Amino acid sequence: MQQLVRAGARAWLRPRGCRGLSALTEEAVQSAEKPEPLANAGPQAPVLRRCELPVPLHRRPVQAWVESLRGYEQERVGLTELHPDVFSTAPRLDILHQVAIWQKNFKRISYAKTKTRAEVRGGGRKPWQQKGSGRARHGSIRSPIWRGGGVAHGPRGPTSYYYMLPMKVRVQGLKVALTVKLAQDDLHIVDSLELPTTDPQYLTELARCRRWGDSVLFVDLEHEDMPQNVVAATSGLKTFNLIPAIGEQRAR
Amino acid sequence: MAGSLSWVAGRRLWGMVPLACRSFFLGVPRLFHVRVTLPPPKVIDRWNQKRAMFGVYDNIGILGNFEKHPKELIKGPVWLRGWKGNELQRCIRKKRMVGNRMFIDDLHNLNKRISFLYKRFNRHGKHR
Repeated sequence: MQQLVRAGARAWLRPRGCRGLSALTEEAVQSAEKPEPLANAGPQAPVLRRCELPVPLHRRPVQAWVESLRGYEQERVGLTELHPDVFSTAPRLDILHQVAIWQKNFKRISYAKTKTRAEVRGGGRKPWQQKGSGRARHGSIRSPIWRGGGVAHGPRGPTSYYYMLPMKVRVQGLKVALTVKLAQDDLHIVDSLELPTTDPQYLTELARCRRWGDSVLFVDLEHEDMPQNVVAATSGLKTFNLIPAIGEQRAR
Repeated sequence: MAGSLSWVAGRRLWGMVPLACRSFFLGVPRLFHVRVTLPPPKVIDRWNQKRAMFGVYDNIGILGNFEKHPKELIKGPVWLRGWKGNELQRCIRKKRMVGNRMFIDDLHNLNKRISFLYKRFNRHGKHR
């Protein structure tokens, strides 16, 4: 499973002053200031990007190749520096597990419901008198020990399993996911998500050629207008999906 | 009925001795439904739309400048979106939020359930 993160020419700035999160998350801010590679020039200038946000003095930025989707052979079009607090944090698998379980469960609403003895139709009258009939004593024909009776301790009504992890835990989960993906060579940074064709076969060929694996997730860092070619190509494929950066899911 | 084992006393009831005393390969009476062949394997599409797009937009708050909260993405009954409670709390919340538009029978059952659970939680058991 690979992720391709596109750095757009336009700045992708999210003002975080309102919640004071500037120290927490600068993830995936592959923005701006990267010079567009010249088209139709012979040997093109490499695409270089430095890290804009301040890096702690005792750490150095992580470097990653920038690729291009325009040709089969266009690997290593440039080099980018990534912030170490996001792309080289500690590989906290326990946090990743917590976030994964949270994502699975917090949306869950179980609709299982059974009727109790009070809700089952009927059963208000005592079936036979208390003494004298020789049978066991009963008060209603819908008690849980009767056939057709209510369920004593069954699921009751739509139940929600909602809970929220602390925001910092979720943020750390995103950082750990990016770190792990980069460290395991599953993260590829791309200068732009433009394809030469609309053909889905081009993408599968590209994935096979560059050995990305069976499934690829394209994350678009720019606003909402994604190039038509990618949209058309990924809509035809099941294992190649395209999402905007807001919807960036932690590692699939 | 689970009472057949209590009848094993008499000699003429050896036919009803359960499977533990007979080898399975002698054959199984058709009353006890035992499958001898595998069912056809069920085909699961691991990449359908729901599975492929699972978890997208869950971090919409963190990544989207906190304009939306992930609890607003949850689809479900109005009284349960982005909220969790035990059964009594759920019943009370349902009554407050949608009680005025429920069916009369359902509202009556809900009221009965609330009063039963209130008495149960507050008067019985270890935790009051």
